[in-house]
Amino acid sequence: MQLVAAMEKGRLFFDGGMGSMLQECGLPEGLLPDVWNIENPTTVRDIHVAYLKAGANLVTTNTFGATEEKLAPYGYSVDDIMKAGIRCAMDAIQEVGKEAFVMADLGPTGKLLKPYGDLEFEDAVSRFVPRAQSAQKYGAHGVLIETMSDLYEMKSAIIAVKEHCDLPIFATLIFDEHGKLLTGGDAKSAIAMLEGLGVTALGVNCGLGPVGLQPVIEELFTYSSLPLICQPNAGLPRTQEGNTVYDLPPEEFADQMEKMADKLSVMGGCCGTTPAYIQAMVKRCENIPVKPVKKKDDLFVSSYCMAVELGKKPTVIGERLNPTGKKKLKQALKDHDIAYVLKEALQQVEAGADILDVNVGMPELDEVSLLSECVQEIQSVVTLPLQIDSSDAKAMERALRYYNGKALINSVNGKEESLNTILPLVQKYGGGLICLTLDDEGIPDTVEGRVKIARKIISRAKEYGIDKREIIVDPLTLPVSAGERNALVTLGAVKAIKEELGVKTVLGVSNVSFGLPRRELMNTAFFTLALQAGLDCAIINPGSEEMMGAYRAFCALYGFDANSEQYIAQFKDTSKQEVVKTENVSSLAFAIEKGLLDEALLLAKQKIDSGEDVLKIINEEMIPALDRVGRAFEEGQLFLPQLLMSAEATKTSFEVLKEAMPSQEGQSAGRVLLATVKGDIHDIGKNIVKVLLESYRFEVLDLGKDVAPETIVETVKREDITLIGLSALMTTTAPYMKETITQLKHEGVACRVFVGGAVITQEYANQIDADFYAKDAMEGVHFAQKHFAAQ
Amino acid sequence: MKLNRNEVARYLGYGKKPVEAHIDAMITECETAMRNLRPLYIARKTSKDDFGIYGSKAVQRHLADCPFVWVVVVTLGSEADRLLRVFSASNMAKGTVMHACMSVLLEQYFMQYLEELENPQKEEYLISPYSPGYGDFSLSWQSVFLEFVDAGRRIGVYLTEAGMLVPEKTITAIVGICEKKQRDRKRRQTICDGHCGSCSEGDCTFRKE
Repeated sequence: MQLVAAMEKGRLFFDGGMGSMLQECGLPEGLLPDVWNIENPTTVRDIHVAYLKAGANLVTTNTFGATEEKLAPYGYSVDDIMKAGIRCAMDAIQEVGKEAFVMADLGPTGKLLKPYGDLEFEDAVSRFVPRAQSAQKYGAHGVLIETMSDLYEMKSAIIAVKEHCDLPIFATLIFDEHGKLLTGGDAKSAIAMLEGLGVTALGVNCGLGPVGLQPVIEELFTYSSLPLICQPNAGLPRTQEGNTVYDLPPEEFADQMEKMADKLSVMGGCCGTTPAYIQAMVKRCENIPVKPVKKKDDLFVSSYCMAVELGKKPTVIGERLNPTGKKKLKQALKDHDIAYVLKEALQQVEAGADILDVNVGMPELDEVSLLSECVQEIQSVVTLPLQIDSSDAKAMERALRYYNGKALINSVNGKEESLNTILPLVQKYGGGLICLTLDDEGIPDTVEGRVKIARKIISRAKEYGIDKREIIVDPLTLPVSAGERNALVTLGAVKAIKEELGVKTVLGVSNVSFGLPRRELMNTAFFTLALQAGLDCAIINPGSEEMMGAYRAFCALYGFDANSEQYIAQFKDTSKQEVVKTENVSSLAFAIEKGLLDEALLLAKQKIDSGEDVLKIINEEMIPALDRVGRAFEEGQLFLPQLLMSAEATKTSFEVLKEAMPSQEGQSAGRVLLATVKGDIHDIGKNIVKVLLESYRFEVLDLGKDVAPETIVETVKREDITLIGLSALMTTTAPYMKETITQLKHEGVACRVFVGGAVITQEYANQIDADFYAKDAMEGVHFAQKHFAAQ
Repeated sequence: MKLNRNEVARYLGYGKKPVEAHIDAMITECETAMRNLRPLYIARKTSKDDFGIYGSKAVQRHLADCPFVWVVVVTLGSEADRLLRVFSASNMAKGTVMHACMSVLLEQYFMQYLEELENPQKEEYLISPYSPGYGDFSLSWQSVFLEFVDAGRRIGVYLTEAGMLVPEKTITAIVGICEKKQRDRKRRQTICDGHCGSCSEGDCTFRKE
């Protein structure tokens, strides 16, 4: 019988711990256990036999750590170990003579993925591929991806397995006593991602004993539409005479497992468990029927750490990260100014968005790489789920692949091309799917017409295995100025889609008022009407007080906001915010010296409005103020945070002044390239230098961190850079500074390099032929000033 | 854990000078943001000879009276790293202040953990911790420490390709265990309560006098 069929027929039992069993049989400390598949297969097979006799019918191969990197010291390939490991398991099954299944075991890589660590997602995927391929090749019945403490690494493993074999996947994560994963995920976000990726069964292993895991099993059971797996440790570890022992004996382990048994389709044991544990557990639980797994109706989208449910209460999707009509964002994307993108994202989070839309589609940019880059950067600071917004299928695919969670996908529509390119992506990566009610014939102007397209998309999605619950229909908002019935059709369609089709709805609301005055009045009215008609998700600007006002008011009025708590929290005291603090601030210079951001901005604006000459403001007030601050810093009278606040105040004021300047020419004091060298992932020093340089009106081309020498050289040549600042934090990465300088000289590029960082000294700077050693950020600024003055 | 704000000021370069009001407000903001951080710890006791430190005179000297040691790893976790990114995205002053606050908070948790590891009933006192990178104690010992306590699996602490600890706010150390009189003697030998006294970096800006 096949594994999946067997699971549907009745509960399956895993084996228990392997590592400690091998140690008892003499495995030397420090030796990778997987190696014994080849060097001591009899022992491995005997352990499998013991577990099978104890009642297990799932055999986990001894291949938990079988990656190329870990096997390198032993001279075996992954394939060798997998072949031997699967062989041991199969031999054991044959020896015992019962029906059982071989599960190829895939443990974590032992490295953290970006953004927490430095392992690239694709690199992580490739580390799981060899095991996946061998599992299929040598006849394993399924794959167990276990002991994953990070959802992103789990995703990379699942992708590797799905792309290289077609075996069913069991996926188990390691949760802590608070029901959280190491990198912050919880049960709901785990379920959202794993169900989206199409695993066969999901659950928990290791970390805690059966008692500790009961709450997370409860939660998983409540939300999961897939069968559950649970493999706890034999209780909690404690040290006894220098050794680790687990505190739960077999009978008590079985007692605790019995309590959860009705929720578990697959049961087993992890660290500290032995055949005695499995035997006790099987005996106690084998006759307890498994509660049927109910397919849930709710739609969750998730980030790396949290899940947001759509459809129970209206949700706000922040629309600000979309270049259409946004000059500053367009410029930032062209300049690859990721910091600006992150600021916009964080502001929307602060304003109360539940999900953020991310769209970087601009004809002159490489959307495929930019979209996935922005998605990865945003998800490294923002905890909210993201909505990936693109009309380019390739860009959508790449972003979906690297998205850490289950995304909202914006969008598919009724056109054949769209259906054929987007639906397979959703099938592979999972996601909540926004469906636009337009097709090759255009946008229908009746409610029925739009509902018809929605129906078509839903049934086509079903062919790809995409369930109705994942569908969110956007019946499209057209401007009422272009057709007086436009709003009525949209509202009617929202209602009909909810009632007749039973799926969720979404709208980009602000389009309704296009071409009309006082747009916010119409937008808020339409928004409220749409919410009443059943709108589940709204793509709006969360920074708009009017729109958030309409949203919060609706929620409070419709019982979605107990005690109007959120409404009150958002709107009390807003009148007080208008109080201008400039009463105490005498001048722009003063604001800069004290590092008062808001005041500096306000004063700068006031000065422009009153017609003062921009260059005069910059050269006679701002720069001298900043100079005074810099000097005070160098004299030890003022310290780094204050210096940085002054720099930020100057920088932000510049942005305002820049817009008032007649031309873009003559604004920059010079272009400087900054980078933290290869291998170095810490960039605070570089960022401090950047802020200071920008406050002195230098244009900074920031290549970021972990930048290869070749990339620096290439950029310098292409962009005609004459001044480069390099930073390195550690002795192990400082040599890359030398390498970069060597390459620059070799290429004959006319430029100068200044260096800095925790381990850099004047001596080292001399050794590597750097032009200048900047002890601190101010020295870097002075050097830049001298450099460009001399040019 | 209440944040030691004086230490934060020292890390930011203020020495004993007062912190400006709005920077002080930033420290408060950071403290509030950090309140949900839960540190993760792991420690393993072993005999110094079994662990086998070599190649560093400084460590040998430091651990001379300690036949047993604890190998300790403490981290603020990956959520701390994310908060750091959020604060740095906002503005660099905030980022700098948050860095200092986290380093201080981490140190406080670390020292508190060491206190818990002491066992006066068994005459087990801890001398000041010593980390890879101090004196002539090579950074390459970092990976040995992490493996010894299985830091990756147990608390999610790893090394990058270039040998950097992740999550960023992490401390690894070897801490000697000895009797009370030896511990007290060691304390009197050093200039302050332990750290700077046993470090040979004379011109470190943060050296405590």
